Amino acid sequence: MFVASGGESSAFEPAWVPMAVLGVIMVITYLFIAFERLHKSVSAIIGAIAAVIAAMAFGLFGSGGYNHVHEIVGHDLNILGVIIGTSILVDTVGGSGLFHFIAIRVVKITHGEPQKLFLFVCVLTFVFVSLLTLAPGSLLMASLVLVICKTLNYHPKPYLIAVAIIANSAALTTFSSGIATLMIGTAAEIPYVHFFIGSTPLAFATAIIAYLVLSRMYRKTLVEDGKAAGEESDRKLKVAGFEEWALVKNRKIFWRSAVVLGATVIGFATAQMIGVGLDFIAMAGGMAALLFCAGDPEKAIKKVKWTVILFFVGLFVIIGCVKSTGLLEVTADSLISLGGGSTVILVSVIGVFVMLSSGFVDNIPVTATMLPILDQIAKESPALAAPLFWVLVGASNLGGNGTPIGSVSAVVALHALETDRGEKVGWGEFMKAGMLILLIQGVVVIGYVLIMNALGAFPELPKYAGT
Amino acid sequence: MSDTPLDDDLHEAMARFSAAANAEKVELPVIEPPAKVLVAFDQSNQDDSVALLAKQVCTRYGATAVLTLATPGIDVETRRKHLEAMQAKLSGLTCEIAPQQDDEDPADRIIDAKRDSGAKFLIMPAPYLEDLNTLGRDSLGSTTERVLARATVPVLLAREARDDLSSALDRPLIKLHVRQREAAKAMSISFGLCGKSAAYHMLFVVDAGAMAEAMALLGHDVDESKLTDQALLDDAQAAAGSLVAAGQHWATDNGASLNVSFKIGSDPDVTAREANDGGHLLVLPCPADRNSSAYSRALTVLRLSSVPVLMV
Repeated sequence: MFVASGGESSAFEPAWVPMAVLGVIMVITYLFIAFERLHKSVSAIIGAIAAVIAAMAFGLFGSGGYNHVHEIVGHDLNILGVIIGTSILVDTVGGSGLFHFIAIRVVKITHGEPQKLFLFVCVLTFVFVSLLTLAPGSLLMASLVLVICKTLNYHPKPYLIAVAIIANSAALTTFSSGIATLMIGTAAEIPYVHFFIGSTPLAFATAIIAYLVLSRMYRKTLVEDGKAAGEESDRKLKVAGFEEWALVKNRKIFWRSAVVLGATVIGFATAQMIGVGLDFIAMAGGMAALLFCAGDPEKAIKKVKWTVILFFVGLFVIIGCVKSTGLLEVTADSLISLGGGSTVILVSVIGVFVMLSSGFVDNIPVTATMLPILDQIAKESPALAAPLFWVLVGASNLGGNGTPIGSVSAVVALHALETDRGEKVGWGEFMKAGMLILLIQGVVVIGYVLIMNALGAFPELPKYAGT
Repeated sequence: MSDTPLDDDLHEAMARFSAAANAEKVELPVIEPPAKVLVAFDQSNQDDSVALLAKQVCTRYGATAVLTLATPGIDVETRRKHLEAMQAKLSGLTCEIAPQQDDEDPADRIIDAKRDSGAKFLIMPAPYLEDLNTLGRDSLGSTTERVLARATVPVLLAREARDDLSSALDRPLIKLHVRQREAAKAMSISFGLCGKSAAYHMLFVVDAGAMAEAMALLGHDVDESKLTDQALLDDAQAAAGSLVAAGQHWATDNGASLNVSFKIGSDPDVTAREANDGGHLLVLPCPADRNSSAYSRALTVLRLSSVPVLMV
């Protein structure tokens, strides 16, 4: 291996041509993904085909030949399993009206008072995304906001921007709250309970920051909305009239859905303890939902985001091919050299780089690329493992706050606003709030990771212990 | 309905929340259980089904069964014997024999017997001729249509003698249309008749063809691309919130089981298929305006149904 220090074999001769070719293929693919010149799944699969052809031409797969591609995909099958299982679970459980019911119940508590409603939209977004992951959670909240605002004659923009931004904090609450989080947790083999120390506090802290900034920024709009919407008593009456039972088709299935969802969450938390993977729990949860919650298998399976699955497969293949050139090791060594052995510099550089790049490119390819690099660094310097992976969790999820295209939640929320109200939120307008929040969140994430690391408060990552 | 899967998902989620936001409180009318139920026989092979249903209905209501034989031209003795035989099948119930009517028309006999006895609920046979299903009117029987046209009380029609008839009242299927005036009454009567232990199904059918036709008749431009199945189902769900909530509130208060489903397709076909396949008691709200298309549609559903149908 090509390693700068402490490696097992420093005699590695990097093959620069394959590195350059595969590196270019990866960068071009990422550019296509970022600028969406093609559908991102198509870009990823075409990139993967090009990468496989190049890797085979350079003989990078060794004696295994093309079978190496199957090994690459097989290595990350657990992530695909979690995505498929949770997608089936969420679609089926969502069909029971459970989440809609809870959302309407919570909205009724606010009596439609704009500031209270704003707070509760933030809280609900946090809870739903933590449980349902980013895309379904933010979709649910965006639709709730549009309907409530239409009924109360409020402007939905502040609420939707809150959904877009708070959702990214929620994605780092648990191992399974966000796809980037899941990828990092899986690759670094981080136990589920470690997330309660490593990232849950960050999820809460960054969500509170976002709430405080946004509520201050939109205070005037919220107050004016409240005044313009008419008498307080009318508003209260309207909200009191919301009928959550209108959403429930079958109460038995409704309660069973709550049980299945709760059991799946407990399953995620205890999976490692009982010796199974999260993909097993997700699949079991999905199937339990189909069996006990009157799920329609055809519909639920169709609802799985197969484009996302293809996107991941393409991405994994590209990164696997690039990894076989040694380019990622070279990058890891360069980063270590750049840091000069300083955890502060390395954590800061990686944190800032990942946050900025995640804002412009999808955070998934950024995370997928960073994982083997950090894995290499962690193997060489196990003490760096915890701070680097935790900063990656925070930075990859929150980086999307910077731009209107940086995260799934922003795309969903802003698209919902445009579709329903014909109103666009420009880059400047979004970034005014998003970048400010990202800046503060970035400082908090990096600061938290460095302080916790300095205090030795992060649990050791088992994968890198004793290496 | 939309350009992207995201739009579809958004539309679906918004439709659900709209159901909650737009739902209006529906008061289920309090309907006193009938003290008397008129049970009409016609000496056909459906009389056993009528007796079976009458026993269940009168037991649940605690009502007196008033028996009549609607077939004209029967001598007094034959009539007496037949009604006594039927009465024997209603053991345990309080029964009365309605005075013989002189009308020639069986429908007149039934209506007159109902009026004279003061019965507030009517049970009668309605021929179910499977082979004649496609012939429309003939499969229902003109007596049934004439009684329905004049009845002002709920009419329970016994159709095919099915094996699952004895438990049909435990599986009521209430077929509803959104914004239907008779819907709340139909729900109330079903709940009163079938009780807390029944497994209720509420069915809404979205008929895309009928909808497009109605829109065209009203002079609206119909954008076929917007009439996708999912979009229509979403809209129906958003509009049905008030009735769904009323049903669920009743079910919650009474610890009953209630399942709501939305189906797409030709209204009579889908409704009858659901009812026949599930061996339900089919409850159909019956518009007061007997010349309305909704009333004709209800009759079509009735013709296609092999299960007992309660026209409210």
